[in-house]
Amino acid sequence: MQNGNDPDDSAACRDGLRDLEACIPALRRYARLLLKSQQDADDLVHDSLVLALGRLHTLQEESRMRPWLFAIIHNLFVSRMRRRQRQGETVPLELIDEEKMSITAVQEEGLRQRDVLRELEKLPEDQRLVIVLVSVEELSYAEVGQVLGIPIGTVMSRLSRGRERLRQAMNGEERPTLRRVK
Amino acid sequence: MNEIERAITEDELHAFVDGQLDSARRPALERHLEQDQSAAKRVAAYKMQRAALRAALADHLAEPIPPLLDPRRLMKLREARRRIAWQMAAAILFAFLAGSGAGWLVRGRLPDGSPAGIPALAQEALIIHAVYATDRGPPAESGAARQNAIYQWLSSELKHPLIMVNLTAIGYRFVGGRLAATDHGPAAMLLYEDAGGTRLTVFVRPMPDRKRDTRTVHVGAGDVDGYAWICDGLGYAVLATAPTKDLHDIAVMVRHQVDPT
Repeated sequence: MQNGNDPDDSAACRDGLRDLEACIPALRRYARLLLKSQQDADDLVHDSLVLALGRLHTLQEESRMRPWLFAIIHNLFVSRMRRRQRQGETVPLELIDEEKMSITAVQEEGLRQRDVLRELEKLPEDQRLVIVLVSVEELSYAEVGQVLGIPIGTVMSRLSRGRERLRQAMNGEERPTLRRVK
Repeated sequence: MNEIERAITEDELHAFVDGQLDSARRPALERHLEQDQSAAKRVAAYKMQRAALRAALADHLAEPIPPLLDPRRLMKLREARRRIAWQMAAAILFAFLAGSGAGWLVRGRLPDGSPAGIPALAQEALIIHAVYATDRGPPAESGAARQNAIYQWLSSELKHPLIMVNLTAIGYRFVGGRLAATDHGPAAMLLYEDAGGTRLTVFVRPMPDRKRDTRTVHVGAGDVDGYAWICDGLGYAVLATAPTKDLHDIAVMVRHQVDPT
């Protein structure tokens, strides 16, 4: 999987760039969870990539590129939020734009997807991010802990609370199709 | 035996949902779910949540990566930034050693001494020019309609109406424009080209903290040459890869178009 064995530095760098590029769509998606506008999200991704490119050589062979990049983007986001909070600004969090959803929403499946996103949006941010990093980005629990800078026990409790809350919210407006899912 | 008897934990239920459960614990967990209806219902609901979230957020992955986020471009930018920073440092040192107040960098720092004014503008413009103007990518579409659309788009991104620069009178046609990220916010880069393939960059960045207009000063680093000024809260730079004939006259013409007063 890793290209660390490559003796040629420039080839390793090229592979690093390719791996990096492969992660960009997921980074943009994560940034959209953190920030309201696509422009702000892409700015965050841009600055994270610039940071990552400067540190590419420090990436250990054994560590995976994805969690490393998620940690960079998350840390950058947190430090900016802190700065903004000091300045008294608030950043509204909005998961998706309705227009986009109306395109993807197809019948029951679409309704369920829209429900789950709407309910996800209502969760506290700490639970929401854990759920997404685990379920959607497929990071291991340990990696999520590293990305968010929290112990694995905290990852598990946030995951558990978030999922249970989401389940109850979805149950409240359960559709017949949902019960059939096993 | 112990392994089987150990009670299933909440964490293990989630690990099962996420495919992160140790395979040795799987049989015990499946037996547990057969006996515990409420746990089974929760696991089923969590699995459904997981699948629904993945499906709902899958579309994002199919979106094309904007050129601004292309890692190869960013790498080139990094390298250009490093190179130009060195060249600028050398230029400052030279102006200093020569004891000359005529160096544009020194002049750019005066009268308020801040390094954020024209020197910063010039450095950004030089980097953007070095990276993008020399990049002979696929030919950009041109034409007046497209030029309008690009100026409008950049104006809205910069939250500042941009006055269209027209250089057809001196043989330069509009080739394209792009939005560039700088340390001081978004900037517009507009590219013009003459029949001989000489490319000019007009770089514009809002500088809201700069109330005072400046003179047009000569800027340059390496083989890129140009002129920069600040006017009405916008910083401008007109750049070309040296030697380009009449660059000063072209800069004056651009300045006259964007600031007729």
